[in-house]
This record gives sequence, structure tokens and C-alpha cells, in this order.
Amino acid sequence: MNDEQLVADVRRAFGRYRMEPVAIAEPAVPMPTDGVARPPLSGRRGMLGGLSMVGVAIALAVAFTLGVGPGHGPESAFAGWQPVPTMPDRAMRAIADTECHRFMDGNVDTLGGQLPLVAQDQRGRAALFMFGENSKYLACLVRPNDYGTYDAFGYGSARALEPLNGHIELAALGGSLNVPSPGPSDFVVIFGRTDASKLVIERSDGVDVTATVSDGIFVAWWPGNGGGRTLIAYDDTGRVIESAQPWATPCICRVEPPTPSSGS
Amino acid sequence: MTEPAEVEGFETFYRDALDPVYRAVLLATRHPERAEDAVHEAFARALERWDRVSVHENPRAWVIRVALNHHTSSWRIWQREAPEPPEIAVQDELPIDPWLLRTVWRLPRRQRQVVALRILLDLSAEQTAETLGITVGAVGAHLHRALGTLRSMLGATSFAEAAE
Repeated sequence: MNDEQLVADVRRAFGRYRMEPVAIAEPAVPMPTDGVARPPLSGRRGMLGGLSMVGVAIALAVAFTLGVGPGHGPESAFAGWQPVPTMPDRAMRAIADTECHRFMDGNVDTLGGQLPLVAQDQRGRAALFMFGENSKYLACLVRPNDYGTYDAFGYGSARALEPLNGHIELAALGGSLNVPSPGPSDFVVIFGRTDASKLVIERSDGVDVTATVSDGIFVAWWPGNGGGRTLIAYDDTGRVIESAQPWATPCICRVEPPTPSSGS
Repeated sequence: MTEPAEVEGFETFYRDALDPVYRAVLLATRHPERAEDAVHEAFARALERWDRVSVHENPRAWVIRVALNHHTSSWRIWQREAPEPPEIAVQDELPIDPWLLRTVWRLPRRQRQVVALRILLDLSAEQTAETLGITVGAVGAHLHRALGTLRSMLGATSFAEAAE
């Protein structure tokens, strides 16, 4: 049997499968007219108060082609990643408001419905939006694709970890995601609660990643699937108040405040 | 909101592309119900952005990419792929070789995706590579392996049947 005949036979074999046309309606979720609707800042700390540390890892992924973007290719979408975050711009927030919420609508059984936005973090041309409440959360990463539009990836992860010693409480750590989309699409998320003023992740490759810390919640992410090494929390004077290595072991290594000199 | 004139163009596209896209998603995912959901969602998104999709180099490629990505959004660890191609009540014009259908269905995932896009949806190697996020060379290699598997399996089957 030659390839031409084989291809024809494959087409004919699958030609038996048909789908009934239906009335296609445009999605009910309207395009936003302004920025993302966010809960009041004062309520954010409570949103993660019930985050449970479950002993399983779950992952979800979604990619949408959406919105009009600046037209840069996916190969460069993560190339601009930077270790220090910025606030997502208005366009990114608009995309998140539409597509991340659409994703939550489509996964009501698992996510329980719409979750409030609790943190946002842009690095280069891609931005991560964290939604969470109680034991459920969604990381929604938005980045340009090579169609001149954007892709959005949803990712959730939970892992059994002891709460860190007073200053850092970890809700999501690591994980990676790969979806059938052009260009690199793995990314790692670290997310939780902290009373520190600044939090830095020392990665195993030597890069120091500064987390977004806002209203008691922190988040950081990076492309690829490389791990972190140490989490370091600082107070508002720049003093280290906690150091942990959750990637290696669940060991918590609190840094005690320096004791006053005995005057000897 | 999409204007009526644009919707009219969409309807023609929808009517022509629905079955080929569905077949490709069905084979790529091996999940009949999810495939239908993903195809519905992809066409709905195409309608929403029809002014842009309609001028895309290949609107079918746009739709299949969205459909495959949408399928990925399901909680895959709780989903099971169908081990066999779905049985349907259909009177084929010519007899269908059940071995062929089953052998294609059981190809490795990437080979199935390439067969789905290159053969069932008739995308170019470049469009297939772009949709799957692999190189054009990899598309050719996967297709070559898939066709080789089909030839060898079907040849062996024919031989076995003839020997009985």
C-alpha cells in the first residue's frame, strides 16, 4: 500500500465522524471596557485564610487565543522575563479580566466558580494573575503569541508543606506546565501569604527573583521548570526575618532576630 | 459585537470546517465528548473574533489550535481517553477497515496529532508545526513514523488474516 492510498484510506475511515451543527453564539462574557475588577485591598488577606495544604498536586492548563496584542512571537514572550516584577499594564489586566474569568466559568466543578483576584505580577511581556479563595486558587498567565494576540494559561497547584515559621505561608510551589502551543510554555509559580515587606527567591541557577508582595500575599513566577533554592523574607528595615528551603525539604529555618549584645 | 455581514461569512466557514475540525480534534484528543466541547468553544471564539479570524492565513488552523488548547484546559488527570475509536451508527459508502481505524487511534500522541492536522485537516507542514509548537522537521518525522507504523501494522494484519 503506498502512502497516497494510505492517506486516502485514513481520511475515508475518519470521514464517518461528523458533528451536528448548532447555533453558535458569541461567548456571553463581554469584553472589558476598563481594567480588571479587583476586590478591595482590605479583604485580600482573608481570601487566603482558609487555604489548605493538601497532599496532592493538581494542574490545569488552558490556552486561549484572544485579544489583539503587539504581535511579538512566543519565542520572545518569555525572553523579556525579569527577576523584578512590575504591575501588569492595562491591556494585560483587560485580557485577564476576560479570559481568566472565562476559564473559571468553564471549571466551576473544580474551582467552585469565580475566584477573586488576589495578586498580579508582570515580568517582561508576560503577566501572572493569581485568583484565590479558601482552598482553591488559579494562576493565570497571560503572554503575547505569534498571532499578534495573547495566550492565557491557567495553572493550579497545591502541595503538602508545613506553614513556614510565622512569616511565610506557602500555598503553591513549583510545578510546570506544557500546552500544545507555539513556543516555550512551561512556567513555575510560587504563591502564598507573608507578613514580610520583601521576599526573594534564590533559584538553584543563582538568579534572585523578587516576589510581588502586596496586602499580605506574595507571588513570583519564572519560565521553564527549574526549581528554587531558598526563600528569604525581609522586614521593612531590610533585615532577614526568615529563610526557608521548601524545594529541598519541608525544613523551616527561621532566622531569629539578633539578640542585644551582653556588653562584654 | 459581530456585525450580521461578518456572521454570514462565519456561517459558511462553520458549515465547511466543522466536520474536518471535529475529526482532527477527535483523533488528536481521543476524547469524543471533550472534542465536541472543544470544537464548540473554538468556533464560538472564532465568531467572537471573526473580523480577525476571517483574514487569518488559514482560519481552520486558528480554530484547531484554539480547540486543542481548550481541550488541554480540562482537568486531564481526571479524564480518560477512549481506548477504542467510538462506535457510531453509520452506513459507510465503502467498507471501512476496522484495523486501520484502530491502528490510527492507537498511534502515539504526537503522531496522532500530526496525522490529525496534516491528513484529516490538510494543514501544511508549516501550519502543523506552528499549531503543535514543534519544528517542521519534527512534523515530517512524526508523519513518516505514523505512516510507517500503519503500513507495517496493516501489512502484518493482512498477512495474518490471509494465513488463517
